[in-house]
Amino acid sequence: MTTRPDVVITGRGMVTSAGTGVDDNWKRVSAGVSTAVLGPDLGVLGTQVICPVQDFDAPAVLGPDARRLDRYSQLGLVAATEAVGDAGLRSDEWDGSRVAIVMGVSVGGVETLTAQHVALLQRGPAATSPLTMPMSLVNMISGQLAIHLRATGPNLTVSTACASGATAIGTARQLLQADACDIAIAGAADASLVPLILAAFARMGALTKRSADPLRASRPFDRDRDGFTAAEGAAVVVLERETDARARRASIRGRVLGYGASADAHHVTSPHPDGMGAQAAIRAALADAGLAGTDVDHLNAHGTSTKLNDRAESKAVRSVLGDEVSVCSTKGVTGHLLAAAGAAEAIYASLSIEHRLVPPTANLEHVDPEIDLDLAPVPRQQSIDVAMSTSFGFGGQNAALLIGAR
Amino acid sequence: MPTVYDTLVEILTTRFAVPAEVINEDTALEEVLTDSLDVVEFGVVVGERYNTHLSDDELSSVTTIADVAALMNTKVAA
Repeated sequence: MTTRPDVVITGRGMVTSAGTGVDDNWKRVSAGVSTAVLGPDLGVLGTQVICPVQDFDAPAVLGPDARRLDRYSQLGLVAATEAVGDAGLRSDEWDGSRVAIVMGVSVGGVETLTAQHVALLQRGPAATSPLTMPMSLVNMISGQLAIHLRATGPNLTVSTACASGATAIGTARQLLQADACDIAIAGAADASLVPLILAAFARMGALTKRSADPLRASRPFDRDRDGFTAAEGAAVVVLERETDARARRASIRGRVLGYGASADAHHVTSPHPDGMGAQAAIRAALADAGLAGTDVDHLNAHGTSTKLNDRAESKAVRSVLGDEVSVCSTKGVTGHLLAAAGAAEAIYASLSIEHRLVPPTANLEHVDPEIDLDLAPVPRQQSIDVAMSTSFGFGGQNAALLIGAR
Repeated sequence: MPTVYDTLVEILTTRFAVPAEVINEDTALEEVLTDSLDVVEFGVVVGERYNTHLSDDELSSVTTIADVAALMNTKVAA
């Protein structure tokens, strides 16, 4: 078997409720202060807490073309632009044919789609915008990034629900290892905080009902958690083969040591109670990296703050990684970024390594007695060589990324 | 009350970010809008403003902003 080239992260970019840009995100996440606010009132459903991106003026950032992009693509484009700049790359200078785009999306341009449905119902079919499809298709983020970044290499959108961001990064790494590209821009974006989607999640019983106390609503692994807090955002990394990155003297932000994926084949939304699918993804990532479970120092967990996810994940982590790994869920601060969660949390994991700091799990007041993980409600200093990020999507799709030091 | 032409200019500048200085009565829509999708979108927005619809045939029969203004004057008066 030929040796596969090592793949490193040379650029990072993100837009979440914790801030626009990696630096602002890290400040908020490492401080452990929730970003939740009250969103649309869903009446009898009793759920109203969301984590939106605040003060995002798309035309000011992206120019007049912003009006032709759904919000999820706008967020993705801003994150990607930051990542490319952080990598010290210029899209007007690179060989675009060797630049791949791999973006993860779950629900896509629902803000556009739902607004156009209202227009159709109220004013008839002729009132439907011709931009509806170009704005709402789930693959359009990758097409838009190609246009804006002059990237004509492999161009993919992957969709594994809330694992999409991790799937995108893992897939992009494989493209680099297969020499299908020299630069891969990978991540995910979602902006679906519209009443229809929130109501749909609420009807599943997935969302928190702690509307009277939004800042304490997202509380992963806590005894009193009652559902996730829906969020929006985007996170993007620039990946390169290490030899290429070092040849151009790029700053290396971290490395993608391993990637594993699996399917529960169990239920459309509930995880396997023992986290069997999660275990399989974690084991696959370890095997990919040639590491043992005990080699993992820190886990940025999926930790959604739902009853079922957090318990199943706890079992899976204990079973494969043991009891020495320090665990956090940054969703206590950011809420659940849906597709973008895996990409954002991979970036947070790389920042944990860089800053030798495990972020707090916000609102962890009483650890669920059925959860046996090394968690903390406060930031902890820790030297980390290997970190993992886990992501699990509805449909039973699971992904795990292993992130290494520079 | 603004004229139809004034309203069309206002839509082009605010909704489609077309610089006001490049717009005059003889300006062709396709010169200042990004593509054919935007031309149709312009028709949707104009129709919404006047509580009517511009059909595909009507939209393809006009070239300049003056043409659209004349068409809308006719439709609004009808």
